[in-house]
Amino acid sequence: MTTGASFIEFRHVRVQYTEFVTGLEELSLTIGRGEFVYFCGSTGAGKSTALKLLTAEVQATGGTVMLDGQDITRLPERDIPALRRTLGIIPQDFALLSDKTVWENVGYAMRAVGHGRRDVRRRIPEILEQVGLMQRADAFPNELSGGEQQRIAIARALINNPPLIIADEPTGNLDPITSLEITQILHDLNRAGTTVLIATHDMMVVNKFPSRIIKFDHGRVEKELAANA
Amino acid sequence: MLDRLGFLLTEAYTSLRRNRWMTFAGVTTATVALFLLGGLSFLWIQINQSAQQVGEKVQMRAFVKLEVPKSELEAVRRKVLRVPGVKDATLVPREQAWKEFREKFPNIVVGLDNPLPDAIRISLIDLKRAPEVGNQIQEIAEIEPKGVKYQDDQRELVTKSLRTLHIIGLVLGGMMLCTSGILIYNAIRMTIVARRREIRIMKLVGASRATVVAPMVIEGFLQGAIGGLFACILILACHYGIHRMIANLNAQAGTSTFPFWPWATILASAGAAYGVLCSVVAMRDSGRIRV
Repeated sequence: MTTGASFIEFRHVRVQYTEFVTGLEELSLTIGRGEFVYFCGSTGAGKSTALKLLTAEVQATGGTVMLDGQDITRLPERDIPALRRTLGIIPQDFALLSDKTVWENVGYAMRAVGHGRRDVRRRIPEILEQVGLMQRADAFPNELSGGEQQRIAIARALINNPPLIIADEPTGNLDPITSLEITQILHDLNRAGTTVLIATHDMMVVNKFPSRIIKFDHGRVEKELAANA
Repeated sequence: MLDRLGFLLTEAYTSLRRNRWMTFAGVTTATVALFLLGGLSFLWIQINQSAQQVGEKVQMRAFVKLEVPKSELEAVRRKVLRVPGVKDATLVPREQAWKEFREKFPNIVVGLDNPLPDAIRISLIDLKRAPEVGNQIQEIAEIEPKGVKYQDDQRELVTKSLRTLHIIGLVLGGMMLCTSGILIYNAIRMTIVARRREIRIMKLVGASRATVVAPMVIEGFLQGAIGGLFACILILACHYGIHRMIANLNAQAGTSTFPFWPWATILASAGAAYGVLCSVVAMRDSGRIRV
C-alpha cells in the first residue's frame, strides 16, 4: 500500500557517533504514509541508525528529521515517551520477559503505558488474534518457537495502534519459512494502513514481498528501488 | 488511579522479592542506623527532661553553726528569707534531720551520736542565680563557713552526659546511616540491572519516565520505612527492657511509657525519605534509566 502524502522526512541528516565513527552522512529521504519500505545494506551501513533516529534512540548531529509534520530531530527527553507511543517498535532480539506468558508480556507493556486492567482484558485477545497467537496465550516464551516469539514482539508493538511500525531485523534470528510468516504479518498490517519500515539484509524476504527498497552503504543511500521496480 | 498504583506497587514488590538478600541487607542496616539515631535521640530527650526535673528539685541547704542556740534558729531563718532570690526557707532541726537519716541508712548510724547541724532548706526563685544567692547566705554570721550546699555538680554531670550522648549518637548513627545508604543504593543499582529487560520494554512502548522510575523509588521508600518501623520496635523493646531492669533494682523507680506511634511515624518517615534519596541517586548514576 503506497500513498503520496509525506509522512517521514530526513533532510540532510548526519549522525556522527564519535570523531571517527559516522552513522549517517547527508541522508535525505521521504517516505509516504502507508508505505512498506525495506532499509537494506550490510552491517554498519546506516539502516539501523536511520530507524533509531525515528525512535529517538539516536540524535542527529545535523539536518532535520520530520515525522508526521513534527520535527523530532532534537526532541527533549520528556517528549520521547509520547513519541514512542505513536510507534510500534519491534527489536531484533524480541525483548520478551521469560517469566511472563504471552498474554502477560503484552499485558505488561499495556499496563506500563497506562492502560487499565479492563482495557488490557478487552484489547489483548484482539491483538493476539491479529498475530495468530491467541491459542498460545498462556504459553511462556521458552515454550514457543522463534517465529512465535517474534509474533509476541509484534503484538506488543500493536498495543498503541501505531500508524508506524519500525522493525529492526525482524527475521534476523528466524528460519526462512518463519521469516516469510513474520513478513506476511507485517504486510497484512501495512495493507490495513500502517506504515512499515523494516531494516533487513534478508534478500529472500525482500524478493518474496517486493516493495520499496532503500539500500544503505557507509552511511549514505547507495540506491533506491521503487516498489514496482 | 488505584489501578495504576497497583501496577507500580506490584513492580516494586517484584524487585524487592527478586533481590531479597540485598533488600534484607538494606533494611537491616537502615534499622540499625535509625535505631541508633532514634534510640539515642529518645534517650537524649529523656535525660534532658530529667535534667530539667533535677533543676526544679534543686534546693539549697544552709547549715547553721552548732553554737547557735535553738531560740535563734527562727531569726536565722528569717534572715535567709530576706536574701533576694530566696523563694522559701524551712527550718530543719538537727534532730529531725538525724531521724530522717537513720530511717534511710539504719545500718550506718548504729552507735553514732547525731553529728548533723541544724539546717535551713531553701528554695529559689531563679535557679540560675543559685551561686549568687548562695554567696549572700554564706555571709550571714550564723551560717557555717562553706555551709551553703546545692546540687550544682549533679547538674554539671547531666549536662556532660547529654553532650557525650549527642556526640556518640551523631558518630555511630551517622556511620550506620552511610552504610545503609550505600546498601540501599546498591540494592537499587542491582534492581536496575535485574530489571533491565522490563525497563527496556517500558521504554520501547513509550512508558513515561515516572512509570519507569516509580517502582524503584517505591522500593527505596519501603526499605527505609520498614527499617524505621523495625528501629522503633527495637527502641520500644529496649525501653521496656531497661525499665523492667531498673524496676527490679529499685522498687521506687517511676514508670515511663514509650510514645510508640509518634516515634514510629518519625522514624519511618525519616527512613522512607532517606530510602527515596538513595534510590534517586542510584538511578541518576545509572545510564539505563535514560530514555
